[in-house]
Amino acid sequence: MNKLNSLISQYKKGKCELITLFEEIVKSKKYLPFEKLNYLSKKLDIPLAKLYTTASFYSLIPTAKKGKYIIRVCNNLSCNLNGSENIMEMLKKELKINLGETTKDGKFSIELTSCIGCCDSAPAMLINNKPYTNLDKIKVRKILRELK
Amino acid sequence: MQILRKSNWAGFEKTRKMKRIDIINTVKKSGLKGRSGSNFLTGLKWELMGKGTKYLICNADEGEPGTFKDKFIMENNPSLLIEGIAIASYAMDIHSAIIYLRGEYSYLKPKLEKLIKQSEKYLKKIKLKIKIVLGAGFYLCGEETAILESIEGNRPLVRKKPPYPSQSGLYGKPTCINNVETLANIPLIVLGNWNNELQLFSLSGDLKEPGIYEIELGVPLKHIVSLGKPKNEPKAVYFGGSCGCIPYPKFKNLSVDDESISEKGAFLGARGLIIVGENRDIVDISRTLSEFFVHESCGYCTPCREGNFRVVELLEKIENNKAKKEDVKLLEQLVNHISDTSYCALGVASTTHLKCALKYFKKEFKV
Amino acid sequence: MKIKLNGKWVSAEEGETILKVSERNKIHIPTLCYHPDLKPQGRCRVCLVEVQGNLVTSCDTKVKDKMEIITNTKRIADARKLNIELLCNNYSGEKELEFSVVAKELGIKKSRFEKPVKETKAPMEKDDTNCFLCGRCVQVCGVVQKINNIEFSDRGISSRVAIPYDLSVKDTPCTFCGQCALYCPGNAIREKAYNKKVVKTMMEEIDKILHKNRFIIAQTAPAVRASLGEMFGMKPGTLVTGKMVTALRKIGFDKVFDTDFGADLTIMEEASEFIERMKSKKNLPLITSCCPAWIKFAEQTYPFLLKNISSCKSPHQMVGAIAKTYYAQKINVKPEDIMVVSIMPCIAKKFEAQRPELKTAGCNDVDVVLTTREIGRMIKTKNINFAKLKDEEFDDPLGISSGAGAIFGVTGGVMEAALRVAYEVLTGKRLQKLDFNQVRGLEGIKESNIKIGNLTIKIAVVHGLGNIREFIESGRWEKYHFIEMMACPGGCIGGGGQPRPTTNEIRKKRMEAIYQQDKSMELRMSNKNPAIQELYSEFLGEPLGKMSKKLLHTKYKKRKVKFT
Repeated sequence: MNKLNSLISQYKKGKCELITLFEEIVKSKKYLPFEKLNYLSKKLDIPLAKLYTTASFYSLIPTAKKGKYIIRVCNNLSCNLNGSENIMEMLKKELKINLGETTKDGKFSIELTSCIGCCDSAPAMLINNKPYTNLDKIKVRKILRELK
Repeated sequence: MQILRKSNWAGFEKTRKMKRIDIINTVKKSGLKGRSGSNFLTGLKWELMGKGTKYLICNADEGEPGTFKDKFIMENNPSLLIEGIAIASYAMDIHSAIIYLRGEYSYLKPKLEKLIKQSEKYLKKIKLKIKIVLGAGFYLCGEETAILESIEGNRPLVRKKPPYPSQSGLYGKPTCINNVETLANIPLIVLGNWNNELQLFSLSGDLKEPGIYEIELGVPLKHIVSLGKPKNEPKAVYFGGSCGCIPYPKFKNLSVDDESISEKGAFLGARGLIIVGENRDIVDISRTLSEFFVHESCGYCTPCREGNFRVVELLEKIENNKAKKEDVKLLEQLVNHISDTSYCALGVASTTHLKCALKYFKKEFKV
Repeated sequence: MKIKLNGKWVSAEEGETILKVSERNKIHIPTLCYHPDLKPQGRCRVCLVEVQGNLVTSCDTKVKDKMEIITNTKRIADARKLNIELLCNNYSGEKELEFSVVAKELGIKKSRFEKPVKETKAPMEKDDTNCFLCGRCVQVCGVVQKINNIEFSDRGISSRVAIPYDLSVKDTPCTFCGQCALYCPGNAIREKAYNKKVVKTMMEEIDKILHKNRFIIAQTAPAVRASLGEMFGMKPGTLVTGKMVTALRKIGFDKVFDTDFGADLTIMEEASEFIERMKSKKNLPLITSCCPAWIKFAEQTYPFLLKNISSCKSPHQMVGAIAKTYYAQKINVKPEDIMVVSIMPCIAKKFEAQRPELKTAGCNDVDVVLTTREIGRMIKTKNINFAKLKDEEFDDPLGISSGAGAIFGVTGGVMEAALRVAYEVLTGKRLQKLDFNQVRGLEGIKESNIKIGNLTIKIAVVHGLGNIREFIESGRWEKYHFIEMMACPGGCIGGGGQPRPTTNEIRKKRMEAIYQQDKSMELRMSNKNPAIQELYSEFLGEPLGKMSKKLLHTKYKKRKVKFT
């Protein structure tokens, strides 16, 4: 909260961007809850709808609750050619959820992402913005086990 | 590799003794063109900048499928980039620079921030502040006016030009937007003995050794493809997601430069080559790429938003052998319609891959 | 400068759009997202033309000297058509709607794309299958009304117009001004009950009640008679008072009363209130209370102004209250057996009628509110040939009204009507010149000093919520004695329940019609209305008297919403 407030005062001085404020909230909450955005709206004197329209636009700023670990699987051409669909299927099976869903214990969410620039080590995915590359079934299972 | 050379601020120190206009002329004469795929003469862009408070934005929003050369530079020789930003800022009398780093590369931010801090003593000399703004996941933020909207806190939609950013950009001030690779080459240009034809190529797809290769423009396609060691006989080469494709066996001897590729209906773009093997189904690949454009369409205009969604629908129909003749005709109509009537460049480019696929692989779109 | 339009050189001004120049030269270009009152956006890509071999949108492309423009090739026609086709899958709007008209013009009967594009989420009274993301509602809510309750959310094919976090509309600062619905080309945003099925149930409901011997009264707002004709192809600005009354009788209403009567009654109360406050110098400025969207706006955003707002109920609520007491006694019917249906240019009136504090004799003052659009649709459903109807008169006694009541329908009207009465009461003299031109017209904020005897009354007339916000937040409101506030641009003639399309041009035409009506009337002052005089002498006693206070006045309270 203190970090957020200090960013807000920076924003007012023109030293920080709105998108950075969103990211700060997402960093701790994993999504942008109504209460937080409404707080921003009041502090910054910007209508809520104006903030929401911007926030809801971006893939990395969820506006609905997500898991502790957001797994974003790349399904662009290079990853697709190297078997990203298998990785996706496997994640769904292991976590017993579908794309866009969160596990019951609130730990994992699976999403699709556009190219993450790991085409030379495809297939790849991001977990909370950290890249995991050259994936295969064994590797994915190991990653999940460590996070569980 | 040329791009991995170290300058250690020697280039910067050299330019400090030069007149601003001479730096701009040096860059102009070098022939450096924007390495984001735009191919606009960098020196000219600098020359066109308006007066007063202005900004430099380093476009590190590398989102084109199959392109990862900017990440390569930021990981392997980031100081060259920071120095390039400093020289460019000095040349254009800019005191505020922003690195717009895509959210998917957020893990690069701490290292870059540290480096900026370490460069403080040079930046101070020209009263330059560099800060990093993280994007939040939108392909089109690579488009220069969308970056501006994103930084300003709006929905990152493309602005209608004119006015051009060089006159009215960030917060209405003149703004120069250059790509990572473009800026990283600046210190090397200043130091001399620099080859404009040596450029970074991202190779991926059905390859045993995908990666970044520095290649001289004009070599035959087969030379480039062989560097990546194809897993099997390549069928086609895709230039990123938005720049179309050409069949490999037919054009393996084609010279790889912007002009030659354009002649074949595709674009070399940001030099991201995705090699597709002989066992692949072009309709399937087209669908994957069109899904990307559905995901990344901003939704502002009808043809791109609704059209690409329908394109995917039609491609699925073809893949599942449920398509009729009219469906393929409709697909062709849509492909041209979307590029003809979309609001911005993303919409216009979103069906280039299909135009090429329909030109070279029509047989695969069977009913 | 000169430009070449379809091979012919024509002159054009710097800064003009291709669309504007074409229209002037009688070259028609179909449009969808474009609206003359709003900033062009180039979203829908229907108004395409060809410039140097490229297709560009004419609504937002400015002309350049010697530009060569072609508007009529097959390529253009095909592209326009395909964009409409991409939008109209699953479209189910009626044929009068703007979107239907464009689709018909371009010869589209059925889209080749059939499946619905997206799941329907309905955050407001909103049907996403008929939404083309033209963005007019977003602009009108954000830029014109400055409420900012709706915006585009998500992106790409998932884009939709929504309230942040899809909150329920009742938790939001929405005032139900309904401008979003008024500007919608496809009826995606609309008042509740505005579709065939609900109207049908509504009619059955009314039939049923008729059967049960309930006594059904219709009353019509001043602005409805100046716009209803548009629903039947008549020119904007056609007054259809007599036909409207006839049509309502044909639908089956037992009595047709005039909300103008209620307006006269409001003036009697409000003018007295004003004079009282002027004398005591308390709670000035007095601010008008007729507009329910303004009232909701004040309750949630500017509660500090509530003490300044007139305690008068709005005119149709007054008619309802009088109908269920005075009139009920007269005809010897129990109040609960009377149903009052208000026909209003307004969506916020639906919300107002449901306020728990607006009750009389244990019943709601008003039972049902229908908009101009809804009643137009009902008349059509009943297969009434509106244009051929004879003119009939309102019923007595709540159908007698003055020109002062009539002008309630336009911005400045309430002020003008009140001033006419205040003048006579304060000076004891007859008012010679009845027109107060200072308060007329479409300017957003109108300010004036009015001399009444040796008093100078500072007044302001503000319409459009955006202007109201600016007016209040700048602090200017404090320096006046009397302020009229109307939420919709133009006042009720531009209300959220009015026929589509409504543009500033059309608003002007409706406004002229209303002033024409006032001018043509012999009775132009509320205090001279014999039915009003009778009501006071027989039933109410004095303005602001005990009975009046009980039946015709109300209270406001601070209202909590989840965000503002």
